[in-house]
Amino acid sequence: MSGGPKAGFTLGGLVVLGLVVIAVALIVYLVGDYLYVTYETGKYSLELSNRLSSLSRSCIAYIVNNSLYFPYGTYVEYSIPSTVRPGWYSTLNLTGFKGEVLIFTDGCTILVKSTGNATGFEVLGYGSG
Amino acid sequence: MALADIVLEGLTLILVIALGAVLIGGLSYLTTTTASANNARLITAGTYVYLAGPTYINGTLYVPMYNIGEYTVDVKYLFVEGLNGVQEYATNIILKPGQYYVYELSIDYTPKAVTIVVSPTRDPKLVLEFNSNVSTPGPIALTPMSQGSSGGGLIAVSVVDPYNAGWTVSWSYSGQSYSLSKSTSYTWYINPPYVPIQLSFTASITNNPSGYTCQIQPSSITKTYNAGSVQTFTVTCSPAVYLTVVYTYNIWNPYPTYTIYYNGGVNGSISGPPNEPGPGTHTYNYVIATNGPITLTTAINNPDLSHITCSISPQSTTANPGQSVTININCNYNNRQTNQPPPPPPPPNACPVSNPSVSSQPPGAPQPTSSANASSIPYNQTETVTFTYNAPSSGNNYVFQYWSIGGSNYTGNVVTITETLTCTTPGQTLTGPSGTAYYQHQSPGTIGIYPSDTIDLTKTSETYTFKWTSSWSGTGTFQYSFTGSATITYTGITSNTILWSASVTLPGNTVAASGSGNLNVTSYPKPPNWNYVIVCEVSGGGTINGVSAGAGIEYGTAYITCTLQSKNGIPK
Repeated sequence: MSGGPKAGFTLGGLVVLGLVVIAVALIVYLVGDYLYVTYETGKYSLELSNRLSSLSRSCIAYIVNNSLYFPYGTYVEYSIPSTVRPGWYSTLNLTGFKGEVLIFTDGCTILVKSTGNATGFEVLGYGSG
Repeated sequence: MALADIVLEGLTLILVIALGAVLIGGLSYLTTTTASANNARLITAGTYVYLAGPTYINGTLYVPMYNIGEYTVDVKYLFVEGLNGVQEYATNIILKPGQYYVYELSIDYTPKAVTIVVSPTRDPKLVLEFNSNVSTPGPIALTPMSQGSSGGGLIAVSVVDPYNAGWTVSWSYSGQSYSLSKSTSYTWYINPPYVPIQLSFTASITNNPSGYTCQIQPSSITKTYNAGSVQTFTVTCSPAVYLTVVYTYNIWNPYPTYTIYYNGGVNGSISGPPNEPGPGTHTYNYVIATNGPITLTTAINNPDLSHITCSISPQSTTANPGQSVTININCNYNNRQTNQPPPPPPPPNACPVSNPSVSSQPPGAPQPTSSANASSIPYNQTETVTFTYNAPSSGNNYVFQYWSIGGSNYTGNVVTITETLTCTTPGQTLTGPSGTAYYQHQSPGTIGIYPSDTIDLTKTSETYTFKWTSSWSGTGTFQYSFTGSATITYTGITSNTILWSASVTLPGNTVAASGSGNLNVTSYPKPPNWNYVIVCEVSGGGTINGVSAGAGIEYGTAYITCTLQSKNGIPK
């Protein structure tokens, strides 16, 4: 009667099963967290790349007919002295500018110099980030 | 034996638990460290401070910082690299996502580059650096409009809006749509990817100044623009009378319609209701542009609905530009409750009043209309009835000349005649004098195409100039089209049916100018050998509103698509 194999759970089997469950859960969490972070970092990278491209394009400017023309538009944060209202601009009329005006946009810093002659604005500098 | 088994089993269990504990401990440590590393990786990837053009001017270094990342950062230090080494400045600026800040620093040396050291507030242990060269402003040359970037050129768009009316201009090219709305005069520039380019503009008024009604011209235009082209839209406003019709009717179908004639500063009429109304009270608003006072006269158009009585208040009134006028029209069944079947016809002893008979000459001229302001006159009574004769001023290439009504001639196209009518015979139909509107035919002008009636099939498209002159005046719509195909064999062109047509139309089906013809092929592609043919399809067309009917120049493009086919028709 005694000494033969017993059917059902033994204490050792339960302990081993518990250890396996904990180990599998930890491994699943480990892999899942890694995949999630990989996806999120890829998304951040793409968004930042698009944002940087957009900021770079917003620095393209021409002077056309005494106006500063941004073909892709730009957002002006503020200016020194305070000449330009913050906002989105595709054309910035330079008629009221006198002397040096520093314009801070999202993408670059633009220096407008008025020479005061008949044509109004001969020199205009800008620095892109 | 049993004791030995128990001891062995116990030792095995202890061993398994020990090994499991080591495994779990190792995994837990690995999970904790990896999660921490992953978190740092995530924050590092989402942190970015853009240095938007650090600039050194007149002894001041401006360092614009723009947090374009996902996390709030603490800008701890600024390092400025000059000719004599690197200087460190403690900044401690907190920048939230999307925040922009310009750090100003007075220095007495020329900086070459700046570096900022930032830490995300969510993980202060992380330290990231962002750097940029310091810009020395350089000149931007004046750019003539004929030189844009990317091989294109600038196209100026100007809206002249002296009235500060609200407007929207939309345009499209290369599958992209753009729009701009303002309420003032404004000029901007379009930088297309290439020129010449076909652009489509539509313009509309979004807000009228008080007391005015405004239009923007042209309201829509599609044409080919070159570098330096200027497209101007002009807002014109006229003083206006604001008319409100309060229309009440408690009848099921048929419903009465009304016409409001206005004369004085401007002549014309308004008909309504604009759509079939349900029983009840409806309000319809109209704007009548006029430079002077106008007299408004209201008439109900369904005199055959004799079982209906409509009251109009006021029947006739005068208004100055900028004024608002309200006309109340209230229709009900005669002496009956609402929503009931039509009553029997009026007593046989009343005399119905019918609209006068009107016609036009010569045949084909627009059809005039007539109306009376009364539907019947009781027996043995005398009433004054006003008849209105309305002829369109033009249409179908005819121009109104004069009315002949009851033997008298009238030069206005809207004529009002008052007659005193007496119902002497029960049931007798009374009406006003019949009228004939006389028109004169005015032929369309001609449209020419340049380069003259030729096409080069080796190109993918060809732009033509249309020029027209006409004895008609006003603002019309220019339409053009190219259709047809040509077949080219190894021996040469075998068939050619490439047609162009163009027209300038005015409201009222008047064709102010027209032209059409066949395009002769000057050059064409040649198939490689006898086994192939080339079939060239030509298409294209467009509509340009707001053109001058008297004379004008517009441009249109014919698109050419040639395909090489084997002689059995299967594409190569």
